[in-house]
Amino acid sequence: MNGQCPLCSQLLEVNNPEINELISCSSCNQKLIVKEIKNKKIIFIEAPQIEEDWGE
Amino acid sequence: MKKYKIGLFYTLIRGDEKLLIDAAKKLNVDLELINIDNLILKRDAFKFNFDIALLRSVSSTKEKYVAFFLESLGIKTINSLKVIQNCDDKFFTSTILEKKGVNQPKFGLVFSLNEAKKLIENIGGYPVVIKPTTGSWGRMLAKINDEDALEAIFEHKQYLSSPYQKALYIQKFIEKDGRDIRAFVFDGEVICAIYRNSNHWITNTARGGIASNCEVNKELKKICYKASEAIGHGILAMDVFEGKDGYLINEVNHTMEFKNSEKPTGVSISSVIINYCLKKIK
Repeated sequence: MNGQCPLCSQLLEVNNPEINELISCSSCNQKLIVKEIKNKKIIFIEAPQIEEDWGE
Repeated sequence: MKKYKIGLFYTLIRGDEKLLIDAAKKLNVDLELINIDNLILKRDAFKFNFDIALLRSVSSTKEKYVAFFLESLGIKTINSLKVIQNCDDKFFTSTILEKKGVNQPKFGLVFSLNEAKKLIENIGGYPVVIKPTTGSWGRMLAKINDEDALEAIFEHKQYLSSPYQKALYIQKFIEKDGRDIRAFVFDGEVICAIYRNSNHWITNTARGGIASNCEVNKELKKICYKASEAIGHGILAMDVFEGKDGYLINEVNHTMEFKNSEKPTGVSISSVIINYCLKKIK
């Protein structure tokens, strides 16, 4: 399934996308999140900025 | 035979969570994805339909609240609140390890510049590393080579808004020869380990460190078991330095990221996590 990067418009393929899945745009490197899947198209939004208590 | 269900609590579906979803499918295990940001943590409003909670929040604050709430309802969580709390704060972790005699770099915590200077002298002088007590991916770590740098970093920290930045966790810097070890530890048993290779002194794979397989030897197993026992077991990722007198535990993580480690080790860490959860239900 695919969708467009909201920043650079690159078409991005994701296998078995999940809502809230985090991906990186292969063109502009922006971190994106799968917001919703509409008519077999993925709608991406920009991922939130890294927060202080994130990660391992 | 009853089919069990795992509730996977998440904030973002990273590559790690995708691997867990795939592993559950392969193992024919029911997995319910629960977005923490959609929850209302209130006893009479919370309905659940799973047998165990696997906590995979990117935010440690959210993870702690969810663990506390679920445990209050009698729900078993992986990891437990106790383990999360023991790992979440680096000073807590190091102090617990020290109490149990686990080898680690010398460390201490101070709140003022003068005491920082005394502490550094006490742990053998420069270089040292100043770390935030919480946080990860090697962010905001500072290697301090001399007193000038210490004074500069101390001043900068006074302008940061988080109160945690006012607590200075100071650790003796350990020369690493371009690599350290991350060991994946389940109830004290090391299932696999990677070297994190980097020319930079920060070796996190999230910061560009390259993962390669690390053979698990008896000494590594021994120190990881001891650290795991001190923390309270569970699923842990341990960062280990190869010191000149043996291994040193640097950090213990409670929500391991492993997506870069399955390939070099050949171990399906995601499957081990799913099976671990099933074992803990029974």
